[in-house]
Amino acid sequence: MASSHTRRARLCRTGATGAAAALLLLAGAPSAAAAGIAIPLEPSALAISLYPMENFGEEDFTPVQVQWGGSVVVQLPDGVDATDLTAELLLGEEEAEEPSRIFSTEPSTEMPPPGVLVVTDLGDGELEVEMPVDANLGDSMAILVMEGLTATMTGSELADTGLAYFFELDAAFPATQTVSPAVLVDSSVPCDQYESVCDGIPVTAGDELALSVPPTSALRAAGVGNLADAEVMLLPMDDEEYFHWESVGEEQYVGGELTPELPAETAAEVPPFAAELLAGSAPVTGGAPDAGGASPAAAGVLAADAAPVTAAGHELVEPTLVATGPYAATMTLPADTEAGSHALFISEGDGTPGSRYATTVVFLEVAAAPVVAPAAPVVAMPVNAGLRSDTGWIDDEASGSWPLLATGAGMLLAAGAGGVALARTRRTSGTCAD
Amino acid sequence: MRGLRRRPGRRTLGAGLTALALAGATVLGVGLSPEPLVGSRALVESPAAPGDLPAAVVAATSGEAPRVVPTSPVHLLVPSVGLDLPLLAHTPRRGVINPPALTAGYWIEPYGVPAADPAAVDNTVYIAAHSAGRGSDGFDPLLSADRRDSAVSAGDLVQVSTPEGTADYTVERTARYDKDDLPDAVEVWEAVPGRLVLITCFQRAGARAATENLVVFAVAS
Repeated sequence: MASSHTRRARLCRTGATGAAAALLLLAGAPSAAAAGIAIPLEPSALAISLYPMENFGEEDFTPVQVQWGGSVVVQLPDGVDATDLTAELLLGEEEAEEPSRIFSTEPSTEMPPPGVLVVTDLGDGELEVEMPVDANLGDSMAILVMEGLTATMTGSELADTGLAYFFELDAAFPATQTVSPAVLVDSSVPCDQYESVCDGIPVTAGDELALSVPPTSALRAAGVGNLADAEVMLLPMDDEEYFHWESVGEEQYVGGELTPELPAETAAEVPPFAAELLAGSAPVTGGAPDAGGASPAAAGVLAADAAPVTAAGHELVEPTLVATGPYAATMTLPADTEAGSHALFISEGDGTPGSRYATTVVFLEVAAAPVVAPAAPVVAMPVNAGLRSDTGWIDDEASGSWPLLATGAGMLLAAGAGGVALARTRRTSGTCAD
Repeated sequence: MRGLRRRPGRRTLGAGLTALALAGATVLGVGLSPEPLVGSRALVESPAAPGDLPAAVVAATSGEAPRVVPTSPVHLLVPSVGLDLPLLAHTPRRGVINPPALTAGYWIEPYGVPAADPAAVDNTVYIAAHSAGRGSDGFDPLLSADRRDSAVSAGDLVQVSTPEGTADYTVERTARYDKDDLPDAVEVWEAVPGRLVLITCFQRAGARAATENLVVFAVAS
């Protein structure tokens, strides 16, 4: 049976020895290279969950309407096998604490009253579920619970919570409805999200992170990992709203309820007998703390009114992810990120029916950015009046004395010419005096 | 009595022609003299230096005509190129630096004044000197022997000695500017305390006028 606690992703545990090792790693870690700290997203395991997105209305759980005696076709996503499927359909009144009728693929006399639920495999992942006829019991609210589904994707495990759908039956509703549950893929790096000792990747506030999804990553095998449309969110792990610490022996574990429980006001919209089952179908995603992003939660139950600050007072930080390829992107940790353990949520997908939504959590051990002295303000230097510089000198021998030479020579020539004229005058006068 | 005009006598004409010949010979002789004209100008114009510096002295080196070298208690030294020039003040006229003598360097006024403590100077100190391309005048040593490049480079020591002490500067870089561009080169004319800028012409030997200036940027060290 589905229950919320089974959906809790035990994210990581950090023992005292692990913390010490992390510190050593930090001390010896080289400074970030210009290309950024490479973080390949290669989770060791994927947790697959199926969610009845058609039930997530604007503000509350909305039943899929189908005719009494009609049928519902459940389109299972690729990578999910229904060979070992068992299914139950529970019917009851809106306010009923207990179901009035239960139909099952494995009927039991203990069920009130026993009935056979007919599920037909139509091939290509289509399962046709026959709806019961109206017995005039007023039990028009129905919950379909499907269990035994398995994931066939590499490195993936389908959560044992199964799949639950919420229906409302009436003679006026469509005879056939098709529903396509969304696939949620949860994973984490550098360690598995289940019960593993985890030392966060040592980084420093302000570092650039180079995220990539290698071809061998299980994310690709699950049909996700495209970072081009992904969003990221950074949350300190001391936020008790989303994480909790448990001491087991000498080790300390951190567990994470990545989403709050199904909101009470929403639970009240479904019959009491179905509340627990549907609570298990509340979306559990890493993007949920945001509640304003593109996660299924945002699309449905948790809606868009979430404050940008968590209940613990942490401001939700959403760094910008810059895609450098379909499976590669970079981002910069805010320089003012506080030192300590952080979870970086990488969310992909829009949570529409039949789609795939992935959340990969990267655990980081953040060191505070080194304090850099503020740069001196740039002061424009005053500028002196510019000057021309005639500081070259050409040799007199080469050019500077030629005017003097010409003047001197001219004076000598003039004196010579005058002397000749004076001598001629003397001769003429002598001749005339005689 | 009516005045009479008297024609000059032959003796008077002869004396005048003789004087003209002597003057022409003198001018020709001066024109053929090897001593740079600017040397005598420096002697005349050196009173522009502050404090009416002592009279110029005459230095002579073998194989060269006597050179007029002003005296000054302030000197510029660039040991790497063997430069040691007396420094005087010079106030450019009509925006043109044109030092009066070949044999001295001149700090440009009203900008920074050489001082033993560069930090106490609130402006760039500009020192200009002629270069003649012969290797022995003014800032000639700042040019390489082949007159194709600067002879000083980054890291060279430049000193300004004053009666109060010696300021050391280190060459940061050198640059060449078209003479027409120098007045607008902001990096040259920025008023930077503790900075020394040497300016000369990039003068090659021969009769062709320089078209570039060589500028040496140095900072107090």
